[in-house]
Amino acid sequence: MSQLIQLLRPTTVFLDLKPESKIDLLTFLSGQLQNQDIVYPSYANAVIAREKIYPTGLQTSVCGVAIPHTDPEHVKMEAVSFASLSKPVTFQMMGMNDQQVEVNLIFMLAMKEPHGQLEMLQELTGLFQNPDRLMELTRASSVEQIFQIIKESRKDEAL
Amino acid sequence: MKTIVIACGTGVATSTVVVEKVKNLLQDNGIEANIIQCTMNDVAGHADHADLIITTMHLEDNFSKPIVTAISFLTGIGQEATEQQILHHLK
Repeated sequence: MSQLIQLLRPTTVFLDLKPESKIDLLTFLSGQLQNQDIVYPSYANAVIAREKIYPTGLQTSVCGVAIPHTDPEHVKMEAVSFASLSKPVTFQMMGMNDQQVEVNLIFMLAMKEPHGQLEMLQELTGLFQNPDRLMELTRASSVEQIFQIIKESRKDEAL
Repeated sequence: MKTIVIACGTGVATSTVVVEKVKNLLQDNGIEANIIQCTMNDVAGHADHADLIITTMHLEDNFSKPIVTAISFLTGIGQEATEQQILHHLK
């Protein structure tokens, strides 16, 4: 069973968002996780603050992705939230001093334990290295499709 | 034995992926090393006994130790070059 699929819920998947800004996007997604009792109210500010110091934008061969997350103390239970953006937002690039990337796909992580989610993280990085599935994710128009694409991506890995 | 410090912002997410990749890389090349996974804030506390620091975040070079940024382990782009860099520093 895919760990990523287990941590992703139909209620944490959002399609074709048009956020005004990165802050707008992070606030919206954090609020959704908070409403579902997945994170503490402190998560939103913590994830925004952390993104400033340790940015999570990544440039893949297809599009920009970001994996915003923050310290485990703000998290009640482990989960992943996915969002596709019909209007990309600018993130700072991970590991770089001041480079930017236009991001179309977001995987927001609510994580509690070091090492606990290795499989999920490996699935995610596998997906980031899978141009066909990334392209499909940017075009998907239903939550079911998102789950299906992620399942297929894991099968690609196993081949 | 060499000591490698592997860090990311929270010490739970991207560094976990990097630790796993580095372990496999060491195994494939018959290198034994002690790996310490930590947050960026904790790098300073471990840097003294590190032979190599690997991060997914930008780290100011204040430690007089080799630093490798391993974003390629997340995106796959340039991964081989990063592996060669790591192996070079462990020789």
